[in-house]
Amino acid sequence: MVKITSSDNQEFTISKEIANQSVLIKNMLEDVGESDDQPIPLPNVSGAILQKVIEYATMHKDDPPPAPEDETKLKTSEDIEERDKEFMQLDQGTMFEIILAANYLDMKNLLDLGCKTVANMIKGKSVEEVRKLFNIVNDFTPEEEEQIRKENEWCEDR
Amino acid sequence: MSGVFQSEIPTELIQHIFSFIPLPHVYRYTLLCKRFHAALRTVDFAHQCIEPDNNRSQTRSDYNNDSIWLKLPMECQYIYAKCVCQLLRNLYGHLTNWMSRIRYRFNSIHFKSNGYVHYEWSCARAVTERIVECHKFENIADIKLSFGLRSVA
Repeated sequence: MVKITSSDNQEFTISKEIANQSVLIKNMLEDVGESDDQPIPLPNVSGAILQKVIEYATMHKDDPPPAPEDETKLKTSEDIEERDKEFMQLDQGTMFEIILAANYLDMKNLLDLGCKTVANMIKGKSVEEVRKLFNIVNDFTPEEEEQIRKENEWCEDR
Repeated sequence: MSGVFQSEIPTELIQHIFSFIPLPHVYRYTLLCKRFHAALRTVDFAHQCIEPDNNRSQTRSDYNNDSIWLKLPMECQYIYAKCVCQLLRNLYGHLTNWMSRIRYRFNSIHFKSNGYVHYEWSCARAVTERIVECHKFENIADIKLSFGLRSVA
């Protein structure tokens, strides 16, 4: 078993197969060796988010190793499993914290899941709708905005 | 006050998120704010959207985007052209191997007259000429050299 601690000093004990889903933790374990009982500090992840990350890793612990990827496969956000869609039904703050945690912990599958979920929220929406959805402040001057609108005319009707 | 997406997500993650949006639509979102504009109008982002990613063994290219190639931002056109050149180079290699085998068997057939090579070369010329035009290279020979294209004629 492996012990990990969050930024707010919550300690979690997880199996090695779950821990190894994080490349960061896997590398740390290899560096410190099997015998070390000291918990691994994860100062960039809060306890609440670490709990969600462990939930995801537990859900996927029995997944088969990834198949060799198809060279002609296009990048898509439409291939999210139903259980993962349910897992990502979170408030925006938590969703972005999970993306940041997955990036820090080097968990590609969770990172891709988070990024695809956000991409799916953006797809098909107008710029104004996306600004409203994610509380994005328009910091362009009217002249700059007009210039970019002209540059983007070709993709507006697609 | 801006939200988490605009203020706290690093540029590489903004690029990763938007790279899942199809090429014909993604550039409209450069209008969201200055930070997103700066993130999406980079060669790095064009690479993520178009070029095969060897580190992740996944091809992200969609060559069905040919119809919008010349409308894409300049940095994206460049990467797209580079990918097409790579395809052409692969095709050329395939054709020459194929022709060598046929020539060995029949010895007298002139396969250059079947048009395949000329078609391939005309595509390559179109790509390289466009790059020359966009990037003010001195001549096509420099571009051919930089993309490893060999003359067919």
